[in-house]
Amino acid sequence: MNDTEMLGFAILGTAVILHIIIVNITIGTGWISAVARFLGWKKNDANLEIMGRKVFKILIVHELFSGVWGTIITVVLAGFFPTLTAIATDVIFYPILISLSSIIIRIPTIALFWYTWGKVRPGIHSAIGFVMALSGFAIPLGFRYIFSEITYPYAVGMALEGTSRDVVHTAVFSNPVYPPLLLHTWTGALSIGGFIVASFFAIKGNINARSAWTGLWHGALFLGLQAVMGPWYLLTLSSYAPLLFDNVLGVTGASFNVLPLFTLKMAVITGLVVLTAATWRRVKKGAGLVPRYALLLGPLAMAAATIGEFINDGGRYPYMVLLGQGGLLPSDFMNVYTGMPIDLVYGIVIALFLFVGLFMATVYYALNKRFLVDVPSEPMNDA
Amino acid sequence: MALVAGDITSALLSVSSLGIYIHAMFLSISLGFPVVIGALLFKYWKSGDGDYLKFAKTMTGVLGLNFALGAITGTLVEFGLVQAWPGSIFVIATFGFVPMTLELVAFVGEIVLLIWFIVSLGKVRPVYSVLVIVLYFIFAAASGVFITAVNSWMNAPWGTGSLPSAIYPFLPEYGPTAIDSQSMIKLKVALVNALFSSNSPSQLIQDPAIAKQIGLTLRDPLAALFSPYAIASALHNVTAGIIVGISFSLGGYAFKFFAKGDKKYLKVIRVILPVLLVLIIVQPVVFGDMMGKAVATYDPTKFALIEGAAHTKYDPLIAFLGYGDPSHPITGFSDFENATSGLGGKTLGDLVAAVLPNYTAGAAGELNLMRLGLDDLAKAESNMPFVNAAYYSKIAFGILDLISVAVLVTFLYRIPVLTKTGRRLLSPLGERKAVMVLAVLVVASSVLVSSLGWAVREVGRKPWTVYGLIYPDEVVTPVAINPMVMVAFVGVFVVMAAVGVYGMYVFAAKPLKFMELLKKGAGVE
Repeated sequence: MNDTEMLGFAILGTAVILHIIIVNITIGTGWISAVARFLGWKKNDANLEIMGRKVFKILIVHELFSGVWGTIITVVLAGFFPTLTAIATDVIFYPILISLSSIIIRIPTIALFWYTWGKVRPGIHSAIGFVMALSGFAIPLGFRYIFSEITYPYAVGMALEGTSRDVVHTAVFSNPVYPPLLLHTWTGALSIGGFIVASFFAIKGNINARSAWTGLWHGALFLGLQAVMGPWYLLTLSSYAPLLFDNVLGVTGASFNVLPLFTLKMAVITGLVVLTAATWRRVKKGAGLVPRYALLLGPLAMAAATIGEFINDGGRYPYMVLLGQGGLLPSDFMNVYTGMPIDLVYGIVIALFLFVGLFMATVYYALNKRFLVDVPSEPMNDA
Repeated sequence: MALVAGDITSALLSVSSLGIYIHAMFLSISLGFPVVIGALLFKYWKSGDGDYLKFAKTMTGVLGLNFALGAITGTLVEFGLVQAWPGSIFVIATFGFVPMTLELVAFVGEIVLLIWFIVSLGKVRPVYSVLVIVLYFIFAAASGVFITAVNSWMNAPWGTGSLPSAIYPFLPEYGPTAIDSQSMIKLKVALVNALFSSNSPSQLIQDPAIAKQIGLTLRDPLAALFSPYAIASALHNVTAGIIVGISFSLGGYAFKFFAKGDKKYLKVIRVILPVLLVLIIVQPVVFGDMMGKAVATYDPTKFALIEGAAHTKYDPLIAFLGYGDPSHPITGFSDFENATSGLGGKTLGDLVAAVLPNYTAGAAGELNLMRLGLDDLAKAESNMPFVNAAYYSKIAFGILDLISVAVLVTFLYRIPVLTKTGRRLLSPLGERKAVMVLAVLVVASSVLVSSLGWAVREVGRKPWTVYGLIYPDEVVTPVAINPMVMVAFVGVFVVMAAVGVYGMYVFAAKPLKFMELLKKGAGVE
């Protein structure tokens, strides 16, 4: 890889990982918030409704930021790797359309769920909440086909062999790597959402044992399911993407040994399991206390997801699209139409990271300092 | 059943237009509301009147919801660009790369600053909130400027030098040449050959071998940013968005005043009006004038369509406005056709041979440039009734907008003679109804001016996607889309936009009902 290819590969990878970390938070918290709001209405339980509202604040401050990284991915792909983007928009047309349709539903319903809370009937509001939550799951439902195709180019391979595009557009849905990848993703998002909620209710000034318990059992349940999904995905890779499988396990001749990272991920998960068990004992199904160390649950879950995504994406280095024990290099898809203004690109990357820093400060301020103290929110209907 | 190629192009042009119009509505609020919110907070800071803060908070809530809708429709317009028009990936990878990446930076800044503004409003000193909303506005406007630069390049392909005029002799030069003419010619030949062979031209850039064969096309990646057309468009479009956004807020508070009769709503309108009046005067006099001259120079067929110039004609006023010279002829399609006829039997192959002596152009080489030019002129001219009517309707609504705002100003401020006369004329309506009627006129005319202006801009550039260089059929998706899929997609898009607008109304108008429940659960009461 030359410098420009490496830069494109690194920016794309960073954007994908940042996007996926935040998306995991928003998908998981969206689901928990919608269910809490619904149960709060059905059980006439104000505490549950307040929990739903508070959890939803986590989603609100993250969602648009996660969305913009999705847009950055599109522009980086089209700008640095136009050939790959052109293939994707053709072969993976319908899965992308599914994701687009879901995004169309997701973001307005998030805004609607927040701004109509208490302003429309609870049944209607709960329905908006479920549409919001389910549309979140439907976004990776489409986009994970792209990842499946760059890991095992099933439909792309058929297209390259000259199979009719009409057949290819349907065949993309049969990629064998897709089912375990999607379920691994969904389960991960639900688990992360649960642990984030548990940590959120362990923050000083926001401690709530019952709500933390809800998050904890949610996180634990789906973390348990990951014990099935993770190995299933890894075994699938052994059949369809042997190079990535070998790199993950660091076998001799691996093109990029990510075994140390995989080991680190396992260690983080072990820590998460231990911490979950310890918190479980102290929180006593919501009747006990929330220990201070419960604050680490969310960050640990996010760390595991970050390392996992890095392994899945970066573990294919130096290839971009895998083909058995080899693959296609970024140079095969690189923009040859224009000389990249490298200095400007570095400037843009620096600006983006400055904004990431400012965003993190804003989130800290919003969730930890100010946003929590305004329960209930101020009425603004008199203007 | 699936749509065939030509139908797909027509259908997707409609879908893209719909998406852009819906996005533009939200974009206008994103640009106009911060101006009003900033002005309200400034008044609150200076006067300490809590009403201004409450108004600012309500508008901030609506802005937040609107931003979500604007962000999503914007994302879809960009996604749609690569999904529905994958040939445009070439534009993003070349002329569009720098403006679009800069737009992303602006967009990220917009989001961070908006979240910061929302969570801190009412909890920090007003002067800080004013500062944050001003910064937010700067990033929002910058986002508009950068994305307009990409659209402007498609209207006036700056940096392509004399290449378009080599094919269409009636076109001007588009700045200093920033392209590699050989590569651009290779691309055009490949696109035409793909059309001739019934293959999908947009699939060409899927092939790494063809990409390498075309090679380095753009030498100056900043070319799109420094076009006079882009600068005029940026100022004109962003100002139009601000005017529409401010008009929406004016309409909302006029409705509140009409419904409730509470004079506090007039306080907001008094804050809004002077800003709106200044913008409505500056827009046509300065930015509109710049835009008009840019169109006359760089989009000659669009200018002829606007002026209904099937034949070259003389009109001192229009010539002065368009060219700065009252004696300049308004060049009509007859002269474009004459210039094109001058090509005689010249073919694309001749053009290729002049630039690439040993290059085989294939079937595309046989393309007669005169025939091609005359066909394209006929296609462009078929839009004349629409473009001409849309443009002059836009001018009429612009005048109505200015008059409505001016009358509202005289009605709500004390201006010698004018206020008395205005109040006497409107007295049969009563104050509430008069304000409402004038506000409705302002909102309707602002929206119509912008919508018609954009229609003129886009329809006027046809039959090309990139003026004088690339057709829609050369960039459209190769996927034979099922019509039901397209209808379902558009249906979801429209329903969500409508639901979002309803949400903004609910937020601004409905009382909170769950306060007591929340307070009880939180242990506050």
